[in-house]
Amino acid sequence: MSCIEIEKSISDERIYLNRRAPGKGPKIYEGRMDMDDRQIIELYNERSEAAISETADKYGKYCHYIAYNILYNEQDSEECVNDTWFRAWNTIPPQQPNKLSAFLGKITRNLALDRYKFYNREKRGKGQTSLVLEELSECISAGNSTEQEMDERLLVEALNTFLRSLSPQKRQILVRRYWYLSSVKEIAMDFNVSESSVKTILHRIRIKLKHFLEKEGIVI
Amino acid sequence: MSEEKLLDAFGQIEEEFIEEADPEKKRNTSKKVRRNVWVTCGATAACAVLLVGIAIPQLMEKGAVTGAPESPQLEGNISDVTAEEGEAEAGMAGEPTTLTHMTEIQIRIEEMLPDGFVGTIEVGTDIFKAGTQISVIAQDNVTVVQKDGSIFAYDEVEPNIPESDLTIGNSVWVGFQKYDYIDGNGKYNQIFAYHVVDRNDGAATDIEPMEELSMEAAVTDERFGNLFPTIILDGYELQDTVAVLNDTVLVASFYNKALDDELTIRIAEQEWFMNQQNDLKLNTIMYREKNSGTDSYIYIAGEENIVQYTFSKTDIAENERFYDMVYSASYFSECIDYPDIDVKE
Repeated sequence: MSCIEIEKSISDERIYLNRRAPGKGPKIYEGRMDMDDRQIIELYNERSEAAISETADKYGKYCHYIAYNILYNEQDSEECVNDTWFRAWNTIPPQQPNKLSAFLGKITRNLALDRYKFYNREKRGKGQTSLVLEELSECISAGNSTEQEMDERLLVEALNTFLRSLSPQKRQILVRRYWYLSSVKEIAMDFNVSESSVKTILHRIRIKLKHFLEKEGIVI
Repeated sequence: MSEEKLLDAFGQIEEEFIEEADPEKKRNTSKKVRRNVWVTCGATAACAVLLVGIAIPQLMEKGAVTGAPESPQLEGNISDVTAEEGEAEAGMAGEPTTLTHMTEIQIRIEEMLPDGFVGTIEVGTDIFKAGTQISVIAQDNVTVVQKDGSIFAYDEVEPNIPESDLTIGNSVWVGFQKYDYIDGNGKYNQIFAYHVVDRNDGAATDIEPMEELSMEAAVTDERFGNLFPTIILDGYELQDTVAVLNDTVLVASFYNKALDDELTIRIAEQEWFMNQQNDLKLNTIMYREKNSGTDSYIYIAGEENIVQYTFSKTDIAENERFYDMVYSASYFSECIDYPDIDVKE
């Protein structure tokens, strides 16, 4: 076996592309869907009761999916979804959501998590919520007790920045897991990858998120 | 509890991210149809016409893909292209169906173009195979009007790395949205590449099937262990686990917080590395300058495999302990002659 002879070489090729103006990144949307949402919001503005039935028709399944992932209980999920319509009725107008699905989804998610916390104050129940909370605990830095806790607004800003830095696929997987609380199995099926790959992806992103928050000086 | 606070904060992320990840959008397809699409595509290489993204015609010119379809050369305003102009038969018949996939491939840049680059796929997919030469062209403000009246619009394409990092020899990840429109005649449609990301840390795609190893297991692994160092430089901590992808390549990433330096070790058969880089130089320290620093890397030959070491910041040539690490691998345990380093200016 021969030992190694080393020589030093440096590539001196430098070629630059013309810089493009920075953008927000690609967005993909279907024109038809936006018009339907506008019509529904108009019903809210006109205080037409059809607003609720139209919303339930279009987003009932979506909101139920979110609630059920958190609560794992049919009755509680139904109640959350109904509360969502009630909240939407009371906030539109003056709110005029740009993305109705996300607007409603956030309401449902918050309602479901509040109910989950109320039911499970001291113990972790079954279902995705307890698993997700365990996973997210990996992102928490030990930190310095003398450091001041950042307010939630800054944490959210940091999360958005972090999410923006991810590839779309990884971002979607992360959001599916920690916003929609979808199961790993379901995510794997929808993204056509193995469950092991999803777990690895999530694990790596959690590590990166932890480092990112530490670098930003954010203590949770 | 802090994790609850983080979960709550997740609840307030931007709505575009929530909408992007909508499960219903992901499931707006038949799994069976998708699987058939891939099989057919693989059998006939009936991959789509590329709009913002990978130019298959150039692929064909270079003879890199066997059985690649005859796809039209795309020039000019992409909004002129409609679903009817997509070609390459998928061999599928039935009701019109739309599928969307997002995936990424890793490409090593070999030639720059005015609005993109040509390179070889290092980490591919079932359609775009590793070793294939391919070109990536980015175009802005693409609007595509489909047969069924739906409109898909893409905002301005923005590479996620400074363009000065798009240099020959660099490896970048190209993300593309694959949109398959399968009409009654079973014709494919377009593929878009909409972002280019520099993730040149040697790590392969997370989409690949992966086997996780501990450091101890890596050293004793039958396939790659004889080239894996038993001693790692001080201060470098293993990130995640050692990964073996597709039983083909071992990847281990380490990070030195004090130096803000990343070390990546990759081990694979010579042929695999040769497919990545035609002019690969063994046992030679190479440098690659980027905005964020200068990579130094080296390919060292074993009997059947090659081990690649890459540092994102520090210089291999100036690291006195580097060879201690390299030679700690069992393959080199019999090497007692350390060469005089001949540095060429």
